Amino acid sequence: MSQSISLRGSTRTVTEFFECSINSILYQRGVYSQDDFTTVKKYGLTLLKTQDDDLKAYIRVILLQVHKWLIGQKCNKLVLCIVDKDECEVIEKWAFDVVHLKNEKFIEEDHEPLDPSETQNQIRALIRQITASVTFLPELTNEGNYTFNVLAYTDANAKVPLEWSDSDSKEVTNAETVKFKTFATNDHKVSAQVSYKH
Amino acid sequence: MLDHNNKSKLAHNANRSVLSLTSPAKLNIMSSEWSRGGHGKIGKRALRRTHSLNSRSLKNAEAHLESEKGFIPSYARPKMSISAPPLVRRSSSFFKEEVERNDFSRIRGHSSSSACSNSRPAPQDSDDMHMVSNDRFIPSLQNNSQTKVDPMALKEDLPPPNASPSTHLRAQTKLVFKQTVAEACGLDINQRILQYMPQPPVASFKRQNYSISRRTHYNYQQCQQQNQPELMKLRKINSNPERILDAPGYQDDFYLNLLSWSSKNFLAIALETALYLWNGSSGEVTMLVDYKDTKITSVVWSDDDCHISVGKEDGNTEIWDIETMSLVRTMRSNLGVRIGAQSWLETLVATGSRSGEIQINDVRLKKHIVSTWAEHSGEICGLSYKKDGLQLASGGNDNTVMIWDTRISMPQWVKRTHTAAVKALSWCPYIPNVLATGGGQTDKHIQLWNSTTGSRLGSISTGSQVSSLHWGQSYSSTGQMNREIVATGGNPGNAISVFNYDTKFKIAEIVHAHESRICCSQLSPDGTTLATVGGDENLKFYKVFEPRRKNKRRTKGVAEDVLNLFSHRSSGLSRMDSGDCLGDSQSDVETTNDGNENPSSSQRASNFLIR
Repeated sequence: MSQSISLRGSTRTVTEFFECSINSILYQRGVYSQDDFTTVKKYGLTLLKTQDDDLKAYIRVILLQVHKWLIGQKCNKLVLCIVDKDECEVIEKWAFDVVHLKNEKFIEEDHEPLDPSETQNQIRALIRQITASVTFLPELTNEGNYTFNVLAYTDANAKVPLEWSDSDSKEVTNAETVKFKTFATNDHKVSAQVSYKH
Repeated sequence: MLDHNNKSKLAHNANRSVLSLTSPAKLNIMSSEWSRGGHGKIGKRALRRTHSLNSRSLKNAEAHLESEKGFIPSYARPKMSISAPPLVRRSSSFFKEEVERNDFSRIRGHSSSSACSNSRPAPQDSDDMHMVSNDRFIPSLQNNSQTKVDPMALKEDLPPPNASPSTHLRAQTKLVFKQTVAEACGLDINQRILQYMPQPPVASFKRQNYSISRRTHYNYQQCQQQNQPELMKLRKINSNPERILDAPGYQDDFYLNLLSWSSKNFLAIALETALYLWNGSSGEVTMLVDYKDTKITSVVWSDDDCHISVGKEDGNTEIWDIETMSLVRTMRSNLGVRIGAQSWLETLVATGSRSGEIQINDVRLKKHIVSTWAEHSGEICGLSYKKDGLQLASGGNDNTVMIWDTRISMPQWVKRTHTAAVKALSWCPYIPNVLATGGGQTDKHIQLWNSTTGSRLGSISTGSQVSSLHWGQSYSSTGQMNREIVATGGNPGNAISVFNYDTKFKIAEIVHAHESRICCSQLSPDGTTLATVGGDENLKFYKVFEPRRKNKRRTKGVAEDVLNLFSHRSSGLSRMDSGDCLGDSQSDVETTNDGNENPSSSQRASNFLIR
C-alpha cells in the first residue's frame, strides 16, 4: 500500500516536471507568443507557464493520459517535437526518458529512499539546463511558424485512447544531440535530451 | 585468408542467385515437404532444382562447388540455435526476401533441432553434407539475432501445450513474421510510439480561421460549467431602424471616431468640417461649429456632459462648452497630425495621434500636456479609460492593444493578438477588469482580456471588421441578466451583431444595417439604442438592448461594489471622490478660459495625477 502511494507521488512529480518543461520549452523556443505566458514560482525557480486556456487544456489532456500510463508503468518516453508548419519538418526533438525503477527488471537493485529535496534539486538543475540550452540551440526564425507534437513511447499492450495513434519516431535529420542531467525519484529516473538540426 | 575471402564471396554469390530466383511458392513446397519430415535430402534436392533454374550463374556455381569441396573441413560452421520450423505461406512478393532468409536459416535450424527431438538421422551422405555445408554459408552472412525470437520477450501468448504441433508452428511463424517485419521497419516490436493526434492550439501570432466545430464545442463546455438549465435563445431585435437621419459628408474613414452620445442625450456627429449636435429628446439639430477648411477627426463628450472635445486634422484639440456654445480652450499637440481618438477621465483628456503618441492633457493646466506615451508605432484609433481611471486601453494601427497603468505611465500589458488595426475598445460595465477589443478588416475577431492578469478570456470571430463594441444586457424569462456585447461591422454584412459574453454565441444580428460599412456607433444613455453611422452617410438608430432593470441591478450592484471595495480598494476610493473632482473640473475649465492660472488648481491637478 505504501509503495502504491509513493508510486503515485513519484508519478505526480514526473508529470509536474513534464508540464513545467513543456511550458518552458514552448516559451523558450517561441512556439507561442510571449504574451501568452505568465511567471510562476516552482522548484524555487521562476518559470513561465502559459495562460492561454486552449493551450493549457491541450497540455493537460496529454499529461493526464501520460500520467495514467506512468502509473501503470506503460510509458517509458515522452517526446516533444517542434515542427515547422510549412514543411512539416521536425526541427527539434526534446526527449524525456523515463525508467521505472520499481519495475520487475530492476527489482533486484535495492534503492535507498531518496530525499524529496534532493529530487527537487535535481529537477531544478535539469530545468535550468533546459532553459540555458537556448544559448546553443539554433535560433528559430520565422516566429509563429512552428507548432509542436507530443509523442509517447508506450508498451505494446498499453491501453490507448482514441486521440492517440501510432506514429513514427519523428527523427530530426542531421541531428546533433545533447544530453541533459537526470533526476530520480523513488520510483522513476528521468533523463532529458534534445536533438536539433545541425 | 585469401581463400576464405574468396569462399565467402562465392557463398554470397550463390546465396544471392538462389534467393533471387526462388519464389516463395517454391519455398513453401520445399518447407512443407521438410516439415513432413522423413528424409534429409530435401535441402539438396530443392537447392539443386533452384540451381538448375539459375541459368546465368549455374556454371559458375558448379565450378565453385567443385573448388570448395576442399575447404569445407576448415570452415567452422556457425552454430544454429533456432528451433522454429518453417512454414511461411506468403504469396506477396513484398516479403520475399525477408521471408526467404528466415526460411533458409530456419530450415537449417530445424534440421539440427529435429535431429535430436525426432532422433531422425542427420544427413550422412557426403554429397548431402557438402550441399548442406555449401548452403550453410548463407546464414553466416545473415544477422543471426534476427532469428532469435523469444516469445517471452514479446509478451505474446503461447498456444496451449495440448494444442497440435501445427498450431504451435503457426504461432511461431506468425511471431517470427511480425518480428521480421518490425525489424525491417526499424522498430521494436515491444514498443509503440504514440502521437497525440489533435492539433495543438494555434499560436496567437497567427490565428486559425473561424471553425464552427471548435466554437460549438467551446460553448457546450461553457454551458455545462454554468449549469444553465435553459438553452440560450436567439433574441429578437427589431431589424428596422427606429429613426434614420441623413449625415451628408460623413467621412468614411475607419480610423476616426466621429460620433459621441452624452448622458444628457445629446448626440454629437462630425460631418467633414462641421460638428452637429442632435438633441435626442427633442430631435433638434444644431450646428456647433464649422471649421471650413480643417476636418474634424474625433469627437468625445466629457464626463460632465457639458463639454465636448473636438480633435482636428491639424493636431489641435478644442474644448467647447455646450451651455454657452463657445470655445473654451484649444490644446495643441504640436505633432501636426490628426487626432483620431480621445478619451476623457474627469479633467484629463487622452488624445491619440496619427503618429502613435498618446498625450495626456489636463484641461486645467496652461501646459496641458502632462505626459506623452509613445509606444505605439501606428495611428491610435481607439482610446478608452477604465471607469476607475487606473487603466487606459489604447488600440493602434500597429495591430497592438496596450493597457496602460495610468499611475506609472507605462504599458501594463501589450497584446499583439490582433492582426489588424484595433479601433473598437470597450470596458465591461459588469466585471470591472474585462476589456473587449475588436480588430479591423483582416482580423475580424473580438478579443476579451482580463486587464488585471493580462490573460485572454476569450475570442469571438465576427466575420467582418469590428468598428465598435458596446456592452449591453438582456433579461431572460426568469429575470436573469445576460451580459451581451454588440459589434458593428463592415463587409460583407455591414451588420450589427449581438453576442452573449458568457457563451460567445451570436444571439442576434441585423444584416445590412447600412448600405456600406459601419464606421462608428454609440449607445444611448439608457443603454438600449445604438446609433450607427456608416459610409452610406446615414445615421440610424437601432434598438438592440433591453433597458437596464434598476431594482435587479441595484442589489447585484451593491454586492459587486462591496466586493470591489475589498478587491480594488484604490478603485473604490477613486470612485468615491470622483464627484467633487467633477465639480472642480468645471470651475477650473472656466478659470483656464480666462487665462488666469490658479495655483491651487494646478496643485489639485498634481494631486489628482498622483492618485
